[in-house]
Amino acid sequence: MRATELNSAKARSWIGMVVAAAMALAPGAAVADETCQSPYMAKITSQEDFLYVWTLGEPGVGDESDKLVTVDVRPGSKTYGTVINSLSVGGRHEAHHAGLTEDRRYLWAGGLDTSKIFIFDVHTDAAQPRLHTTISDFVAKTGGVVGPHTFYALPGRMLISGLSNDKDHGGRTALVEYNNSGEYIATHWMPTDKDPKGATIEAVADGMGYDVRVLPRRNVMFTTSFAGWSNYMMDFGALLQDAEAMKRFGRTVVVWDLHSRTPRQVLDVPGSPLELRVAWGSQHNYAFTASALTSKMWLIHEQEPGRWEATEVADIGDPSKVPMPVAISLSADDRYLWVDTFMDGTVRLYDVSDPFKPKLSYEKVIGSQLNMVSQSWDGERLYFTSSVLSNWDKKGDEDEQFLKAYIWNGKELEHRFTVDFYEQNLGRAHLMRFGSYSLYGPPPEKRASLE
Amino acid sequence: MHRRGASLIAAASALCLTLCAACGQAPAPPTAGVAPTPPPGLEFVPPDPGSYRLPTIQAAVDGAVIDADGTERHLFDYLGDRYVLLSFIYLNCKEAKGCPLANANLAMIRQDLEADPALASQVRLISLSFDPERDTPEAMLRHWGADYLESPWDKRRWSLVTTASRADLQPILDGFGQYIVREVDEQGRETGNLSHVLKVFLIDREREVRNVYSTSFLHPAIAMNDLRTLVMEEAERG
Repeated sequence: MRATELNSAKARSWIGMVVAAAMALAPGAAVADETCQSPYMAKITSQEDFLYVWTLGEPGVGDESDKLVTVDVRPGSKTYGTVINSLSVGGRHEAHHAGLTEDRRYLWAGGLDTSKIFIFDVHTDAAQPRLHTTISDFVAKTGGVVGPHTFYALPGRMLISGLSNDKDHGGRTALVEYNNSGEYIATHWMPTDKDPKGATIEAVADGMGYDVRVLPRRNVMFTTSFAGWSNYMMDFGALLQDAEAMKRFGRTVVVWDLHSRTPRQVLDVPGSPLELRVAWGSQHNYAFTASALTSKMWLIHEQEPGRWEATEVADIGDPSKVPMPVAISLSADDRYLWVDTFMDGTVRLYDVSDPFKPKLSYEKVIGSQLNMVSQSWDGERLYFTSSVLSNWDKKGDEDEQFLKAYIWNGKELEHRFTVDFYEQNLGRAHLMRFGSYSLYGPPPEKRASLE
Repeated sequence: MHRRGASLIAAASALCLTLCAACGQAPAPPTAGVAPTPPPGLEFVPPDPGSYRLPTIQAAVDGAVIDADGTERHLFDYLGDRYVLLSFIYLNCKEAKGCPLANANLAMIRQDLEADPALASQVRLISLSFDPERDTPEAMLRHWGADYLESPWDKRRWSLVTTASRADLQPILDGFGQYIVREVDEQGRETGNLSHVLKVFLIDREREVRNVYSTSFLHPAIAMNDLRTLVMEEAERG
């Protein structure tokens, strides 16, 4: 969206926002969300109203429990840039990632340690999410999958990638499907060397999981690979000294037949490829991922119909310093890729117009540590959070916990606000999702007056 | 082409013509024998029937409905004896890739079924309106054509149903997870636009939902393969 259009959008009344919602919910328009969401999901086409931050509880901080924090991001609002709601779920579960259902009425949020899933109602009042239900038997229902990670909307369903299993707490894991009511549907175990499930294996099939994304146009689904519970719950300093544990990281991207949920290829992507982002262009048959341990950007591209390849296309920072790329975010036009690196707290912007030749075009230190990045559909607003894992975050003064908001003016990031999650007694700020009244009709106060 | 099939397809085309102002594609004229505007072609070969499983997603739900023939029935009257593709629509839908796309796909699926009579006899298509005030049985019948009444209701390949009220409709929408937003203006008056995510439900003879199609995967070739997969599965079970 151009600036003039944005200003126009800002000036619209809520009724205009309802029209935007109509477009957002129109199935044809739902080709993307705030750039990195399921293509099946309704999207926010105008200014987002709220940011939901899935937050890890921290001993000695507030109520010490995991919580869903709602921040007002409406420009001009009296509470702009402040926390307007905090909903504790009780206890610490290693809050990590979260995802919205395809109609955006519910937000599913997972705990990597307890494998609990908290389903929040975000449609009754988008400013005041409420806990709808909790799935407490994920491990038993799924046949031993541990660590629900990515929550990815499919029509009528939620696709969940696991990180581990209950037998050895290593990295062997599965994809899981639930229906939108929270009922278990199916488990699809990752291919392994012993059980490739028909997939061709480039080097090794480690059976590990992390992110999941789809490209329905090509009937393709991708999964990446990280590590099991025994690694992600270990103290990071101790982990780095544990040679055996350091061997237990993923090095695969699996290409699946989306419709049949069948693995087709296990690509070799050393160094633990984490977030994966699929291009949106109608002719762009590729996706990006970044390997955390080797600091490389990888392009997963369709070499010929049905045959995919992984190609290393760029260094991210200085790999010898292990900056550890974590979250990435691809712009809606596929031209730019934002990459956060945890260790140096830096975000880098790559021009990926030629996906085989990314060009570093901008970088900025956001904080002492940095994890997630989310951008608005128009690419003008970016939000950053700080926490990776409770036992991996930095210690002492370097353990900053924040949400920071910026405007991208095309040349640099302009700071808008910061929420200090420790100062606010909240905890460790992790995953962000956007909310908007426009998706659900008039906001509650308008609904009341109309009634 | 079978006359009634042609009539239904023409009716779908007429619906497209009526509702599809923003299609960006020339809607088919409402004359018999003219195929509806096809959806974008697939860029892949769908997996073979029987080569994959379609796990149960959820149970279908029942509810009071009214057929376009004016008869009050229950939704379960239409489920159980055949495999069903259930599409939620409303006649005034103006979204190019919304209801008109769903209707066009059902029309093409119906056409494909003509070439496979054994399968066709086991399949029912249903379009269920979520706009009960405007989509009365009479209105739906008007859009589809009077020859809808020529077949016994339980022999129709494509059934058109609505509900008597929002109170009757809402439990069905809730049960299937078909969420809609009724757009209103600043005075609180409904504009008539109903925002929704396109969904078509594949339901087996146990009245269980086995797939949910949205825009990306709503294509006759995929639906036909899924129908055949369910038939093969049932045959294997004996």
